[in-house]
Amino acid sequence: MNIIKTEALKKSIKGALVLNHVDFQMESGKIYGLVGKNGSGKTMLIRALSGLMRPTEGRVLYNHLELYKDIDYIPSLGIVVENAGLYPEFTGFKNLQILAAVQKKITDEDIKKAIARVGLDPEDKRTVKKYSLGMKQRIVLAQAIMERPDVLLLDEPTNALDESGIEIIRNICREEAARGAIVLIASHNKEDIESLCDFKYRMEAGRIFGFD
Amino acid sequence: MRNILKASLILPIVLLLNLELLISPMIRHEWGAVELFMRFFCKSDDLTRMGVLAVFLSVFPLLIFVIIFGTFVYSDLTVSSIYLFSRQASRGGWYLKTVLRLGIYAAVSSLWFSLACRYLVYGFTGGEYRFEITAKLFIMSFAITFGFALLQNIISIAIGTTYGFFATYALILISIGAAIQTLKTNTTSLLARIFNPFYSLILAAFNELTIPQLFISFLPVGVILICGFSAVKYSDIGLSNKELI
Repeated sequence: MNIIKTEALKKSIKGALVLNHVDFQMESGKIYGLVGKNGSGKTMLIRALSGLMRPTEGRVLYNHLELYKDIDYIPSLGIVVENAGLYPEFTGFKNLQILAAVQKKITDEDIKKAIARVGLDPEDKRTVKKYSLGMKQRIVLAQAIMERPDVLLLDEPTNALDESGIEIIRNICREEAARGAIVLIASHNKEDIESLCDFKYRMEAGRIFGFD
Repeated sequence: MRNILKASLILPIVLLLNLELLISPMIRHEWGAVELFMRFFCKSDDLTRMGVLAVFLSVFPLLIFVIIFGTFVYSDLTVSSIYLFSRQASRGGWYLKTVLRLGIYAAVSSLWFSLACRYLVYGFTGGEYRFEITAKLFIMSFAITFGFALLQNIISIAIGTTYGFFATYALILISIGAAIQTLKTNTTSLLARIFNPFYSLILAAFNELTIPQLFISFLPVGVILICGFSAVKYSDIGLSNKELI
């Protein structure tokens, strides 16, 4: 059983408090939903949980290990973040190969399976810069799930996706949670959260509340 | 392989900028090594007429490396940063591996530069101190290419690519100007004589750079390395590029 916990998490950027005393906990096998308007702090929270953004105060614990102190990153993490891209000059497959080469946990076959799982063609020779927005979103999701992570953090995963794409995301979230991963979905769209999540939260001005 | 080829671009540029020395081997018989290095670095045999522009053109091949690799470390932090970094065991480990690769490319560029200098001045044979001078030229060229490329990367990480580029090149021009001033006035200021890599590069060409001076000249590179480590270790990934905020 893996647990991610935040304790009094605060983050200030250029004097603005983007995370304000965030306390919450997530466990394996569950899907957590975070809803909130743009600028509410959802993306910042996901970045803080991912080891990408050092908190100003408070801490993030992963199985009692403190992030930014005991460990730099959660060891088995898949993440989709808004406005983060891949190398535009490479194909989707090549991009995932480059990322998979960091931890060397999976084979090319696993990469192809992940690409197919999100509804794309693993043999597609087009470079990412020629992808549509929906295709880019799908290939980014493929890189998040390809290594079968213990923690999956998805920031606005349904952006730019059609109905079939949204259904793929929902199925993947259910499958990953059933496999035992911690799944967190952040979205400004309430329907995404209501239909899918076991636990729901709302973010507003950097603070986290229970979902009404 | 692609980066090795980019780092090797320095060779044809050096030869092109010194065509006179390349196609007129007769010159070597007419001039001594000191005069030839003066012509190489200053485009003049008169020290009093040495100018910033002439020296800038002479070392420009080294500065090409800084242009090409000035965002080498930075680009991993921005393009695919989030997906790369969320997979790393540690930021420090990533930084050291990336800086090592940058160092290898800088070494390739510096090797071509120092060999080209040696050939243009001495030809394939001849010259009493040719190995010693070539080795010192190589080390100082490496300090310039690696040091300034890393500096541009770190400034870009801290405050953005535009500032990184302009700040680095401003420092390069100031260093070249200071080196020339030091040569002309023969100042004894340690700061001017030792910590300026362009001054040390010219001294190396004239075989006046001692081994202790060589080591001391590397201190600024060490400082830049440490600053870079801190910048990567403590910066917010994906947010350190201000365009993302």
